[in-house]
Amino acid sequence: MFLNLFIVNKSGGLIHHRALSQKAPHIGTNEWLRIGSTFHSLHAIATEASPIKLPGNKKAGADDGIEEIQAEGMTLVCLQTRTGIKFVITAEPNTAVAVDLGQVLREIYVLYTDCALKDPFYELEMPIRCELFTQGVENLIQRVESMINYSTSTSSTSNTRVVTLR
Amino acid sequence: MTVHSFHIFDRKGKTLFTKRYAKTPGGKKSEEDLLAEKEQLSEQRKLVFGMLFSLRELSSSLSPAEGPGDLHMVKTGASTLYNYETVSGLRFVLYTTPDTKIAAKGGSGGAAGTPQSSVHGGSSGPILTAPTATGFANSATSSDPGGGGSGAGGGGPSSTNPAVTADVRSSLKHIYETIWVTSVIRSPMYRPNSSESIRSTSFEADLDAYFKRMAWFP
Repeated sequence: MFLNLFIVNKSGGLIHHRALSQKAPHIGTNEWLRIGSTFHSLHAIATEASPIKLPGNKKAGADDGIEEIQAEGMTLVCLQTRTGIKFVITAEPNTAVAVDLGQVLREIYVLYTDCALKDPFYELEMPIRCELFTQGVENLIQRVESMINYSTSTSSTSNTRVVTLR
Repeated sequence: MTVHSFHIFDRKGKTLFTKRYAKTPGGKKSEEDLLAEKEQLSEQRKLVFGMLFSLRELSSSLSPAEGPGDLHMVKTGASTLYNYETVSGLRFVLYTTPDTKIAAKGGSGGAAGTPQSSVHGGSSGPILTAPTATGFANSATSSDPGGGGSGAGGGGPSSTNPAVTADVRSSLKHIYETIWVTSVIRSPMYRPNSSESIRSTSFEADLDAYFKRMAWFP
């Protein structure tokens, strides 16, 4: 099961958050804002704390930082774009094995550019209140969830990892 | 996977033990340089502890599971951190290079490290040898068995197999249960508030011996 999705802009402000399933823990709005900005700073600190560094602290053009966290009952994956927006998704550990969460995030990035950035009323760095985007994410998550159920019930373990989402 | 550094923190964030394994570049260094480097490393350790402390708060609020929300693994582009925390609040932290490099290396040359006997004695020893880890990575990223090249590029697998994390954490647990408890806690010379008393025990030697038995040690 997927748990939560949140998007943090380049200055650490939370611009979108939502629960992706019933299982997601209930988190208040203030708590969400705190989580967003804490994650933003920890993302930067993780690079500094590392004993090894990538050249220029960049990876594929984007700032290096937390890419994945495995914790008790939860896996978190973060995608930072070159423009500094962070897409963060959390899921249960078994879902993270079955699906490439990074791929899901890249799909969400596409939805963000298509639905939010191309919206004439959307202002950069501002919270995303766009129905098309919400609907798109909804459809994507449903599609991926159904693919997981399908592949685990019909095929052996070697094929459970769903890489292609389109 | 290469070990880069290993830290042990107590509940309050004090460093009980720290060691860097990767070789530092350059030949001889002046006294001042060494001092500056020491200072920098101590700052870095504070960052590591602070990061783990805050990340635990974060993960416990984001996770649906009850409990403190233990951190297992944090991956950045340059390195992977494995964390094991005891009930008493000791934190064992191991920095390694990310697993994806194993996939790239194993796929191209097939230069598998020799399987090593583990100290665990039959019970679920840490299967951290290169061939096993490569097997995980390959089956995780692509369905064809020869697809070792997929992990080499920038668009490698974004998520790491939890089995590898579990293996490394079982190694950290072993370090705590066997090496730390026998060499340090049971030492009559050990004083809980002095870091020098750890240096005087055989802990460091035992730890090094344990790491060197691992196939992934450089």
